[in-house]
Amino acid sequence: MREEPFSWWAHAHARTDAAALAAFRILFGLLVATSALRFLAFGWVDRFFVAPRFFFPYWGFGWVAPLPAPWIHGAFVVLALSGIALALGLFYRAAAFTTFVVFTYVELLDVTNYLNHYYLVTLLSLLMCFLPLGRAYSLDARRTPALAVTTLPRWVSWLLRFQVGVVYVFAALAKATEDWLVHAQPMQIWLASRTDTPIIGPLLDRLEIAHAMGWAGFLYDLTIPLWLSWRRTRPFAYGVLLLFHLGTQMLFEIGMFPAIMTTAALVFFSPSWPRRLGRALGLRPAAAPPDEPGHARWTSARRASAMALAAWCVVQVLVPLRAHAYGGNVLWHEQGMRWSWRVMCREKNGSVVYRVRADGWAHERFVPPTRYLTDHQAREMSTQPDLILALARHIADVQRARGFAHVEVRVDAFASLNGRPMARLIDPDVDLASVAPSLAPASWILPAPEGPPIRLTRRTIAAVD
Amino acid sequence: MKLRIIPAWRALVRRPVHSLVAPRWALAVVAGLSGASGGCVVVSTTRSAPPGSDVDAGAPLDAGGRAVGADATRRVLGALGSGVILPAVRDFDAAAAALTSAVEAHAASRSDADLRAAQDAWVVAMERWQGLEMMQIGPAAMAGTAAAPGAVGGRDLRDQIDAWPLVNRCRIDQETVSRDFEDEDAFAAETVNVRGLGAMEYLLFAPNASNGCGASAEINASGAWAALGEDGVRTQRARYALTLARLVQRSAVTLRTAWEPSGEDWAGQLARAGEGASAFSSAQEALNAVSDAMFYLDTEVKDMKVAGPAALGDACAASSCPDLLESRWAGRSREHIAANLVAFERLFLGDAPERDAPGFDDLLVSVGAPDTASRMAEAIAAARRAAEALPRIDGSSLETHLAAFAALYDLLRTVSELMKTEVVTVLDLDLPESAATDND
Repeated sequence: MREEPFSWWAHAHARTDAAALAAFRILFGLLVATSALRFLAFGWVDRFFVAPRFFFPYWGFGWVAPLPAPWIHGAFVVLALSGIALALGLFYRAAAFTTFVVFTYVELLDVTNYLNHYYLVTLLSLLMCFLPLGRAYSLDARRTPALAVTTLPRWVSWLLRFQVGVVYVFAALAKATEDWLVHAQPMQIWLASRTDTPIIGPLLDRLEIAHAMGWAGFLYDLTIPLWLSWRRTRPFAYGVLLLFHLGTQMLFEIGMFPAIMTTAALVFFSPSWPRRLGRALGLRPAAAPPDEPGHARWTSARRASAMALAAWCVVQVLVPLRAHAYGGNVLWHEQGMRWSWRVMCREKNGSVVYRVRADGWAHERFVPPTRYLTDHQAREMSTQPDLILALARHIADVQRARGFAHVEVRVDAFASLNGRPMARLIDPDVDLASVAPSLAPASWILPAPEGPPIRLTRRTIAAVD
Repeated sequence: MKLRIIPAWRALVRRPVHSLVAPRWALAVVAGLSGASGGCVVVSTTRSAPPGSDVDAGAPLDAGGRAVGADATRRVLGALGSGVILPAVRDFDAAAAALTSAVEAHAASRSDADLRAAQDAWVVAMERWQGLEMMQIGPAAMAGTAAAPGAVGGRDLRDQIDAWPLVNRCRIDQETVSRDFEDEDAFAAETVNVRGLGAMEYLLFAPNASNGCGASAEINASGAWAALGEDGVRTQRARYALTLARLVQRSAVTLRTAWEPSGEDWAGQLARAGEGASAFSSAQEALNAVSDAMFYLDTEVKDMKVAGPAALGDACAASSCPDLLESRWAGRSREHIAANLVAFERLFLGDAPERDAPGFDDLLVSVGAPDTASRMAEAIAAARRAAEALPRIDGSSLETHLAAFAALYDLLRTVSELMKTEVVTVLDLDLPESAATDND
């Protein structure tokens, strides 16, 4: 056992007011509960987990199977309850673990439901399983006073800041493309259809507005962690953040994303911000506990923990970067697209028809994805090559189960990216039934079309004569 | 990712508000400063709107007198509502009334002449309905379920009029025996697979007095069907058809009332989309409702009406499946497909090809995608011509015309591919049922 080796080690283990982290726990738990209740209230559990007859598994997670109704509804009830328990700080570790397991389970059921902010919830809930956020302002602390603390190590905040910062920075890097920065696409496509928006609507189909909003979004994502980290700019930065997410919520239906990010960004604030907010609201919160210097010993256990955290951070950086290992345009081939925080960076629509041949058939049969999928699944899979492959293999399995020994499945898959003329996404000559799913670069995905995206002009219709 | 307009707060939008907040001179200043103004706008070729359209009233225009932005979309919607959909609804209502009269006469006399007249009236009504199949917007559209969100204003009227492919011959025969149809109001609550124009086709065109149930079915095992005798079967079918005609007419009246300016004015609601006095919270949402309806071409026409019976898909294991033809008894499958395509073309172009009216093509041209517009128009016209050139199809002749079906299928695929990729991307439309969830 040695004294702490580095000054940052001591700084990281210095204990600061737990109020901010407790507030984060409470708000995060409420968001999880709200998300689960939305799924139940809007009928999304039926739509996404009961109605489909085929589910797209994540690579390596084909063993995750959907619960039948009403058990799948029960899973969302459990998720809502675990979110509430998390907020209350009641059986905190169990609540965090349940949140992580159940949320991750429902996310793993079908790739077509993937959303970046759901992935963020999974990561944060996993982190919370190991972070001591239930020891302050919680029912656990009230039930077991020995657990109660008023301060928590600074590294806990640092870790959460890193996690949230990763989202923003990689979301910015995903926008560092010619389409986004030079051609203002797909921003122009989105804005041009929103000219009914109050006050600013008539301006939204202007190219210069699309450019301005595209660059603003890029610079915002790239720099907001910095402005939030600096005490002097933090209040203004958070104000901008609120405006940004309010604006995106008004313009685009992105569900819980703005709420999650405005909550997550609070981890950049000082440890005592809830007390200051309370005072500003005329309440009388207790005085903040004084910071305590770190006395963490450089034990083997702590060394292992530090290494695990470092590994976590490295993984969080490497996973989004893996997309670049594939070369080409990731927005087209989508290899490495998921878990890389490519938030709102493409407008892509596809058309898929499978061509199936089996022994004894006189000709190829054309099979639309909707024969096996819900409309939602068909729409999502039509632009994602690995999902097109997965359904091709499923179709082959179905035909083999019907007694056809030799089955070939090819596909006519077209897509339009950011308004470009449609182009083939998949090599139509490749028998996808013989292609094994893999993380390796896929030679059966055709290169992205050359040339710039569409440059829209204003919607106009001539007057009546 | 797919993004969609938030509907709830949009009801607050009023055109005069943003006209005041962002007047034309302000837009001109912004445009002038940026150098990206109307100078690069591709002008729509459309010069006229249909009679009765009031979509220009109060709409801010650009220097060339053109409606811009959401108002341009509303102008297209207004033209489609009052120039395409409302006339089609009126025509169908008139045809449904004529059908009821003809079936009444047939039920009263059961003469061969009156049967032929009833059949002719059904042919007219069904062909007009086939146009409206492509226009399931508002009350004709799906009401929605827990697992599938409904359309704006959806009331399932479509299924009340024609629930194809949900037509169950054996169930219709069972109803023929039970005579439940004699209580017209109660029968309106029966399942849709024994009602509507599809069931009427069987009742009016079935060539003989056999039934579609197995020997173990109650109507055969008990001898109830046999007890009717051939004349009894024809009598009951005529009466049953009369009940169905009246129920279809009720729905036709409801549909027409919904679209008439003196009623719920759905045509006007399209024209005013996003302006408060409309069920649609934005012009884009209304445009999306029209686009959703047009996807009938992809799912029902391409995959079910064409690929299904011709064994081009995997729904039919044999070399052909006449049972999957839409019009098995009247032999009108070809005419129905052609009518579907004519309606699709009118929605896309704003009117018949020989006339000029605002449509999706004009929107595409105006935003800088004239190539997409022209390729779509050409592809639709080619598919329509191929459908019109199909030989008359019935169960016995299908096998000899599979090549023509395959050719039509290829043409429909081209339309579908363009619609699903370039059209929806450039106009930022959602594919059906893909909108009502979170995105990022």
